[in-house]
Parts: sequence; C-alpha cells; structure tokens
Amino acid sequence: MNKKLQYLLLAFLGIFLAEACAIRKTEPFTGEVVAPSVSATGKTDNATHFSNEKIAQGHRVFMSFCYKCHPSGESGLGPEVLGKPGFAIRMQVRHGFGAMPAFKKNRISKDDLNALIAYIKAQKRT
Amino acid sequence: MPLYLRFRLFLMRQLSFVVFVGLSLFLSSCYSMRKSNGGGQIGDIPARTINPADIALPAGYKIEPVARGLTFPAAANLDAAGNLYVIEAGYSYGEVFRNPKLVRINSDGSQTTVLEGTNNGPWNCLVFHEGYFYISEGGELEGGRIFRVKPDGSDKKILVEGLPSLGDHHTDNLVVKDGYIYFGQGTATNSGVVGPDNYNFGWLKRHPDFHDIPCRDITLVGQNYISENPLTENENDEAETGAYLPFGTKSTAGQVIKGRVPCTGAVMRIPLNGGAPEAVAWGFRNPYGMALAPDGRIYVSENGYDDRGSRPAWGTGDVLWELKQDTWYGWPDHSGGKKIAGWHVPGKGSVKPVIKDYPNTPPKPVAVFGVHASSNGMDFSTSDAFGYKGELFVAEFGDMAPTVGKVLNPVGFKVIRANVGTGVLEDFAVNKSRKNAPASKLKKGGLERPLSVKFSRDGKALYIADFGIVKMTKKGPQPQEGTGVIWKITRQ
Repeated sequence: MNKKLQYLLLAFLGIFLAEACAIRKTEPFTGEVVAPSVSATGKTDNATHFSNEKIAQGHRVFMSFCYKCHPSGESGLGPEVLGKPGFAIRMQVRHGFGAMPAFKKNRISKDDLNALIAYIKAQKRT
Repeated sequence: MPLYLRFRLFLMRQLSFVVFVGLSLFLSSCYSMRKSNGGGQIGDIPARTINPADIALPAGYKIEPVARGLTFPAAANLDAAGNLYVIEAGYSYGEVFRNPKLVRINSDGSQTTVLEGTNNGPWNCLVFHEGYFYISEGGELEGGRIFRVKPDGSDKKILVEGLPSLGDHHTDNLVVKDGYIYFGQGTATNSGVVGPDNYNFGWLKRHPDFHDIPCRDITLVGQNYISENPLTENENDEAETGAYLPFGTKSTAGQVIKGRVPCTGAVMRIPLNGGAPEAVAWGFRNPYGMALAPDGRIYVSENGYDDRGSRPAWGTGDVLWELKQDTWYGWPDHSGGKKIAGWHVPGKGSVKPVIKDYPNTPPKPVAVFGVHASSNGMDFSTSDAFGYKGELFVAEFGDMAPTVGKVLNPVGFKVIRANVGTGVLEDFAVNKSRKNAPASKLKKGGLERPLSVKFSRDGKALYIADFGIVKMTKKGPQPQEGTGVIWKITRQ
C-alpha cells in the first residue's frame, strides 16, 4: 500500500473516530452556577460563564447566526458543528454550501468569525 | 528525485488530504441527501421507563419523578398550601380526544381528579393566583376559554370564551399582572393560508370556513396558492386560496382584511374577573409560552413556522420575545424580526409575501431557539437557593418531524435556560447520550417531551410537565396515553 493511500485511510479513520466516539459536548455543563447580575434597568448583564472575552463574543455570534440550525452546536435542522475544523467552518460560513446560506463580511465580520471559531473550538473543553 | 518533484508530490498529498476531508465533511453534512431523523421517528413504541440517572444536570442538582402514568400532562403547579396539581391536556395532536382533567398529586403519590372538563381540550396552562387556579382551555372543538376554579374543583367561573382556537393552534399560556390576565392565542394556520395540511390536522373538515383573523386591518398583495382540494372526492380537484381567507377563497391585490378581536396569533388580555378581550400585541404565530419576569416584563415564546402546507417556510426558529404593547411581531411575513420573503425552502421554491404594508417594523427578538424545538412553557428562577436567579427556564417539547419538516437529528426534548439580557441559551436538563433525543428513541428512562416548567412558590424546586411519548409518522402523531411524567429538580 503506498503512503498516499495510507494517509487517506488514516484521515478517514480519524474523522470516523472523531464523529463516532465524540462525547456529547453539551452534556457535562461546564462552568459553575452563576447568577447573572441585574442592572437597574432589569437587564441581566453577564453574557456567559466564559471568562475569555473572545470566546464570549463568539458565543454571542453563535447565538445570533448559528444556534437555531445547530442548537448547542449539535445536529438539528443542520449538521453538528462541534469538532469540525476551523477552515471548514470558515469556508462553510462564507460560501454556504448546501442548504445553508452564506454569511458574508457585512453580516459576520472577520473578527466575529474568528471569535465564532474560537467559541466552537472551546466547546472541546468539556 | 529532483527537489521540485518532491515538493510537487508533497503539495499533491496535502491537496488530496484537504479535498478528501472537505468531501467527507460535505457528504456527511449534506441536507438533501439525508433522511429526516426526528425525535418521534421511532420504530416500535417502547414502554415508558423512568430513570433519573439517565438525565444530565449541572453539578449539584437532583431530578426525581413525582408523578407518572399521566395522560398528556401539560402543566404542573402548587396551591397556597404547597399541594401539587397537574392538568392533563385532554386533546393531543393526532386527533386524540380525551376529557381534560385537573389532578391533585397526593403526598403518597396517588392521584385525585378534582375537575374534569369536556371534549374541548387541550388545557394548556395552570396558574395559581389568590386562591384560584386559572386554566386556559385550548378549544379544539368549541373554541378557546379561560376559567378559574378553586383547588378543590369548586366555584368554577368562565372568564372568557369563544376564542378562535378551532385550527392548528389554541388558547395558550397566561400570566396575571396588574389585575389583568394576559394570554396567548395561536394562529389557525402555519403561515396564513389554509391548505391540505390543515385537513391532515383534522380541523378543516370540521370547520371548512375557519381561517386566521388579524387584530387590525391589513392589506393583501393578492398572492394566492393552488393546492389539492381534500374536501371533495375528486382527486384531481384543486383549490386556490389567499391569506386570511377560507380554504378555496382567492385574495385580490389591495384587498383589505378587516381586523377584529378576538384575533388569532396574538396576545390579548381580559380583566381578572373576566370580560371582553382586548388586543395587546399581534403578529405572532403560536405564542405558546408566557412568563412574568421579576421586574414585571412579560416574555413570550413563539413556535416558529413549519415546512408544510401551501405556504411552507424553512429554517425559522422558535422565538423568545419581550412583550410590547400595541406591537405587530411580523407573522406571517417575518420570522424573528426578519422578512422571510425570498427565503429558500429546499425542494419547494421561495416564500412570497402576503401583506402589502406592514403595521410596524417587527421588534428584535430576545433569542431564537432551535428550528422545530417547540419551545413552550417558561418560568423565571427567582431564588438564590436554586441558582441561575433571573434566568428564564424553557421547556422544549421537541420536534414533530417529519410532519413539521425534516431534521437531521432530534431537536428539543430538554429544558434550557435563557439569559434574557444577552439572548444566550444554555442546556439545563438533557438526556445523557452521544446525540440529543427523547428517552423513547434512546431506549432509556430520561426526558421525553417537556411541555412546561414551573418553579415552586419559594423558588427552590422546578417542576417539569413531561407530556410523554409521541411517535411521529408521515400520517401524523401517535401520542401514547399514560406515559406522562412530572419531574422535580432541586439543588442539593
């Protein structure tokens, strides 16, 4: 078997195992129980339990654009996004292959997209 | 081998790897190539087993069943003495009609029926206020009602009736605020146009003239929809139908539909002691859930569009709204504040608008839930002892695919919490599994279809009304009697 084929098989096996053996990312509920602070207007202020502002920004972007089809990053109307490589997410968001629409820079800025990918990668924390 | 050839070979290997990975991801994700895999799409219907250990919660929380064997439980609540009560809806999608009931759960776990309704469910809401339970009666056969009754089943008084609930959606949840009962009223249809899907629901045959009613006058663009006509025996017979009109009635450009109250797809209110309803806000699809925040604001959960009927929509999530007086929220031409005109529906073309001039620009939603999650009953945590104080807990009944459209994996079937300040949603109670799904699909003993949540009066316990098993087929839902459960969550 030549090396090229070995690489392809290894890559396939890696993807298969990552998909098949993944622990459900939302299940362990990381983060302590946090009571959101309430401002004078009655609005709750602290966004998430994430301490990293970049990831918290990505979480907000995810809620605005992604959650409804990929609830908690899992498969729903669309496929699961947790565990997907950053370049694949970036390409999918910008070009919108399949049923998913594209989100250009006027809708999701470069900075927001970077934050979004950081947030999705951070889900591996669990 | 020359250096440039080795470099070229290296590049080819890298490129083939990227192409392979990309192709694998694309094929595994392709929407059109995959069958629907909704939570209710199960084979043999299993017996309901109960095992709290199959449910994942944040650390420090405990869940236990406090009542089981119920038929279509819709809500649980406590009276002033702390006794637990449950309403059984009576009616379920799938055209199953039973008498709705108010049931007391006794301290030994036994159940006592204190009030039995007639064949006009579903009973959707159970609110306790100053000695009375306030119950919304969905009204599938006779129209919606709201009534109050004492916990022992006495002193029943109907506060409003004749609500337009004969269609897809019913008279929904309510809250009591400032001497008024605010309640949600669902629409007759998916997206404004009566069609064969409504025949499949069962009501179009019973009420062929029923249709949606706007709260205020609206002007139509004259968009009509041709469909099969299930009301005649001729299989080739067709009907052409416009929005806000009876099945088989065409609309014309510039046609004005007169608004009136009670209307569909609205939040209305009546005085606490009963009276004529008045419109508070409109342009909702099915404003099922309603919760009063500690600061006095009212929040509404709206069930989003389905991919069904003459005017299907796709990719429209359920929506969490803050209720604002005299505001139109966008149905049937918007979802979550955004116009759906031009949105592609896979295999069915694009959505066309039906209203000419919009009453106002719809507000921005607080949050958008999962598509087809069926985000329903809600309540705020008000206790430091329970935690997440100030956050909104939402029961997600779960998808009803394939009737509502295709999903790649079950959506909902859990309890989530929402930060109403930021719109961030987080799971709170889910089944332990590699993939999200109801217990019957997982063949485990966890959550099935959470329909509502309610905190105890001291805020230390959260009760979940779990409707039970609903198998979904292409012919519609098959709800299973006696599989409903009330769960109780406390913090240790």
